[in-house]
This record gives sequence, C-alpha cells and structure tokens, in this order.
Amino acid sequence: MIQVDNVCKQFRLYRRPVDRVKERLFRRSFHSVHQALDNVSFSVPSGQTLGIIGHNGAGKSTLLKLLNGVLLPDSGRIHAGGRITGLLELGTGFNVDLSGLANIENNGLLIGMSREEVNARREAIIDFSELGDFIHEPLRTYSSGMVMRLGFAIAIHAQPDTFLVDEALAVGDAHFQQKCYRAIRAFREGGGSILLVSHDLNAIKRLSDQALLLDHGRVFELGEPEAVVNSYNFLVAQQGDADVVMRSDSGSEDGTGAHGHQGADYGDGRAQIVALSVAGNDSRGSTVSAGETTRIRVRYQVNQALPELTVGILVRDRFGQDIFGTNTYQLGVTAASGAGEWVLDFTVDMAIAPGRYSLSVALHTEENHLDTCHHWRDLAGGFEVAGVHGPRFTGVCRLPTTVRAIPGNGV
Amino acid sequence: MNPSLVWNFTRQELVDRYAGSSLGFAWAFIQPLVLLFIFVVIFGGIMGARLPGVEGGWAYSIYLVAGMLPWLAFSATLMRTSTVFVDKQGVLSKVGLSLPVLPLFIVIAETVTFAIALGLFALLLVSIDHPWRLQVLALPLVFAVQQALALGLGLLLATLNVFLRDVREFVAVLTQLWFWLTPIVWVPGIVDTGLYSRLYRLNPLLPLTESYHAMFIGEAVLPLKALAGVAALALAALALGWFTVRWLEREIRDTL
Repeated sequence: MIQVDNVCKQFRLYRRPVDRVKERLFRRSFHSVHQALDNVSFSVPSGQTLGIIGHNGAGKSTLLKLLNGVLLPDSGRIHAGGRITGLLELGTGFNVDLSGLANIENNGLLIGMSREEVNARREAIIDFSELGDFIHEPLRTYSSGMVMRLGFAIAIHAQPDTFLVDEALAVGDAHFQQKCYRAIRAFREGGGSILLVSHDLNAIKRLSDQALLLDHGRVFELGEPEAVVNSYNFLVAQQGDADVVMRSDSGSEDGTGAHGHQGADYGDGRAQIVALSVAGNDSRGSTVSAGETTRIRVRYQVNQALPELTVGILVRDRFGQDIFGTNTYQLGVTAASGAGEWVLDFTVDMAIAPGRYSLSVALHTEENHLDTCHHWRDLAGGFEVAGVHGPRFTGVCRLPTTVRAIPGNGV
Repeated sequence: MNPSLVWNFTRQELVDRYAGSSLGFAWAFIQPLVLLFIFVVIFGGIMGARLPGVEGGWAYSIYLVAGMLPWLAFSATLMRTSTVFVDKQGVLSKVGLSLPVLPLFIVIAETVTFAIALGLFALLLVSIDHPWRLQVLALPLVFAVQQALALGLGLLLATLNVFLRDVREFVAVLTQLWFWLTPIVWVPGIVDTGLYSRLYRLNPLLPLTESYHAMFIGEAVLPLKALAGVAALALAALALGWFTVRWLEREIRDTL
C-alpha cells in the first residue's frame, strides 16, 4: 500500500556546487529552478500494479527516488506501508573482488534485509540466480548477465512490501526474463504492490491495474492503462507531427533522396510521397492494440499527370522482415493520378503481434515497383502494437478463426 | 540503517579491503607492528631519545606510542568522516540510508584498528616489564570522548564537503597542523608555560593526549576538569553535526 499526497519536488540547478554555499552567504540567488514534480498524488493498494509512463524528464525517476528515500520531497506526504525496494538498487554495493556469496550479504543488507533474512533466503537466492558453483567465485569473473541475475535474485527475495520496477526488466536471456516475470507475478499475488516504470507500453498495458501519465512533472492522467497509454500516444503524436512537417519542408528543397532517412528512398520523382500518418481508431495515435482498426494515411504529390498510379504500403517488423504489404492495384482501387496533391487512406485490421513496426510506402505503376518506380521510401513511418483487442493469440498474426465443438465424440 | 548493515560496512572496511591480497587480514597487524618497530626500536633503541624527567631507556618510545596511536585513530576518523557522503555517493544515490548514522562504520572500523595496535602495544609493555598505571582503566572513556569529537566535527565537514569539495584538502592540512599543535612528538616542557596554557584552552586534543600519557608513563594524574570540558565539547559537536546533517539533508541528497 502506497499513498502519495500532493508531492512537489524542485531541483535548484547550480552551475557549480559552490554556488549553493555562496547563495547562503550572500543571500543572492545563484540558481535556476527545475520543477521535477508538481503536486503529484496517487495511491496503490496492496496487490496492485501501477504503471508509470511519460517522456524522458517527465519526473518518473524522481518519483521513484522519492519513494525509496534517496531524495526527500519539498512538500507533500509519502506514506509507504513497509519496505520499498526495487531494481533501482540492483547490485548496489557489489564488490567485484568478493564472491557472489559475500555479495548476497552486502547487497541484501543494503536493500533492507536483516541478517536473519539473508541467512534464511541465501539458498533460494542462489537457486534463482542459477549461478551454481560460480557463487563461490569472485564477481569479477562473472559475465554482466550473471551479475544482473544475481542482483535480481537478491531483489526479488528481499520480500519488500512494494517493488519499484524500472526499465531494467530485461535481465538476462529470454528464459531468465520469463522467470523474472513469473516471480513478479507471484509477488503481486502474495499481496505486494508494484510500481512499474517503462517505455514498453505493451508491458504497461499487460501488467498494470492502473496507469499514471506524467507530463512535465504533473499528473496528466491517472486511470485505466488502455486509456492512459492512448493519451500518452496522443501527447507523443502532437510532438511527432511537428517533426514530420519540418522534415518534409527541408526535404522538398533538394528533391528526393535527402530526407534524413536511413532506409532506401529513391524513384524517378514523377510522383512523391509527402507524408504518412498512422492512427488507431481508439488510440488516435501511432500505438495501437493488436486487432484495432487502424488508418494509414498516405499523402502524395503527382508532379505531372500520369496515366495510372499504384500506391502501396508495406509493414515490416523490427528485424526488417516483411509482415504484410498491399497496394491499390491488388485491392482493385484506382488511385488519383492527376497533377496535384492527393490523400489516400488504407484501413487495416491490425491483427499482428505486439511490437514495433516500420512502414514503407511506394508509388509505382501496375502491380509492383519493378518496372517503373516513381518513389519508394523505407521507414516512411512507424507504429507500435501494444496490447490485444479481442482474443489473445500466439505468433506473428491473428488469422480469423472459429472454433466449434463436434458433439457425440465423448468417451 | 540496522546494526547488521553498519557492521557489514565495518567489515567491508576492515576485511574486504584486503580481499584479493594473499596476506589478507594479516595486513591489519603488519601496519601497527611496523609503526611500533619504528618508534620503539629506532627512536628509543638506536637514536636513544630520552624523555626529560623520566628514568629508563624506553620512556620516550612509550610516550610517543601512547600519544600517537589515539591520534592516528582520531585523524583517520575525522578525515574519513569528512568525505563520507561523497565517498559513498554511489550507494547513497541508490538506497535511502540514514545520513547521520552512515559514518558510524568509520568510527567502529578505526576503533578496531586502534584496539589491534593497542593490543600489540600492551604485549610490548608486558614483555619489557613496564609497570602498569591505574589510570589506564579510564582509556575506553577518554577514547570514546575523542571519537565522539571526531565524528561530530566530521559530520559538519562532511556536509560542507558535499557543496565544497575543497574540504578534503582543507582537512588534510588542518590535521597536519593539529598534529604539531599537540604534544605527541614533543613534550610540554619545551614550550613556554604561558603559550602552553593558552594552547591548552584552544586545543581539545591536548587534555586527551595528556591523559593518554598519564595512563602509560610518568607520575601525572588525569586532568579531570579539562577532560569534562572536552567531553562537553564533543557532545556539542556531535549534536551540532547531527542537526546540520538533518537540516541540510534534502540539499545533500539533491546534490549527490
């Protein structure tokens, strides 16, 4: 159980530490002020998870540091029932010259365990870390993954009342990550509260009961994770739009090929891609749920009237694999090809697995771009799929599926 | 901070610093042994320095060691405490430890180091059949006053050091000066009595050092009145140090 009431935190920024002393002595101001947190309130009941999202510098880390006592608030009250610990402290106080065993004690005591607790849980920690006989070797012989595993094993066995989970959930390999997730879930089922700070919106949606969106130190929204993630995307989209406009402005000067992209960007220039935007029906932003109806809007410019034109899109996953592509020719739609600027909407049921995707756009003739390509642009845009609308699924995509029980086959 | 954490820090300080070296904890004994060797054999035996007014070839060596061992504990405690927040920045920026309690481990570690050296010194005294004085029973109390003073001043300086990193250098210079303003190497007899009595009022280590001398050598009794004054000063320094840290805690944590 955590209760945070009207917490404010200001940082005075001094150019040099000594300015702080000068200020006291001369009674003149030598600082500028950064309001890291402004009147933040929320509560997390026992056994619940609160996801915290926001831009870099929105105040997330400051909030976690206030909660674990590294920083003190200027005003407001923080009431945490019992011990708070988290992955912030992962491996704090490790001495590389000492064995893993000795470091269990160093780190365990530091994050608030008593000596008796350390003794009682030592075996469980060693088991969890899967270090085996390595536990007797000095830490400097460990790989970084092994150190992280030991750190996480200690943290999860500290049995705090509240667990602060930072980005760093990505500990070790996939097998160990799953084990971490299981341990965290078990911790929550045992009545512990979790504060989860992450840029992984999918994790926020999947793991949180509630989500908190911080913007410039203020609570922008607090509520259902789904809605809060959408608000976050809306915030990001507002800023992202500004970027896109700027980019196409600077790009139009020197023609195609110099748009600051890293992917392929070529073509004969008779037609050009101007802009691309992605918006989920519910999210309104470029992060959508799997299965959400999503609008992909292509804005293009035809410089001289063409006899015919095909507009195509291609979705690639983060490994660059083609996931799905389609175009107006395959769909049997005629795209406007007269001189001028045109807009085309593709509406897609985005039933693909959560993750990040890039979008390529192409303007060409007939079915593919191999004969005549007016403009091909990789990384014209991107979007993220987080969370699932409708039934969950395994694999890359959700194919339309029905299930029917056949009667009469029982034993 | 629970006691086992303070003890763990102390152990790290005493034992873990030798981790990876093959002699290990034996180093904790080698250092004071060498010190005793230099003071006793070189100063007393080879150079033949004599303590004015006291019989016996060992007198000056004993005088030297009796003043030097507590001084080393005092100066080390003061110096290490005055940089403790900056030295432990890595931990303090991750875990919410109590700031005024944190330097306790330094006091304990330096006390253990002192006790080891003192034990070796006592063995030496037994082996040369040096007569014991009753005053030595007051040693733990006098030493406690001394360490409290070091901790109190150290807390004040540690707070300042967070904002003004010159403190480390300043303390190094200060302790050097302080060392020579205290009769550890020299004897009070060589100084003009007027100057000495003025020094006596200004330097709280003077009554302490005189007490240590009285415990091991000569005929003097403990300067109880002056000791009481130093004890009061030590408590005041401790209280002031504690409140300063508490008062500026938010700023300290913000800066680290």
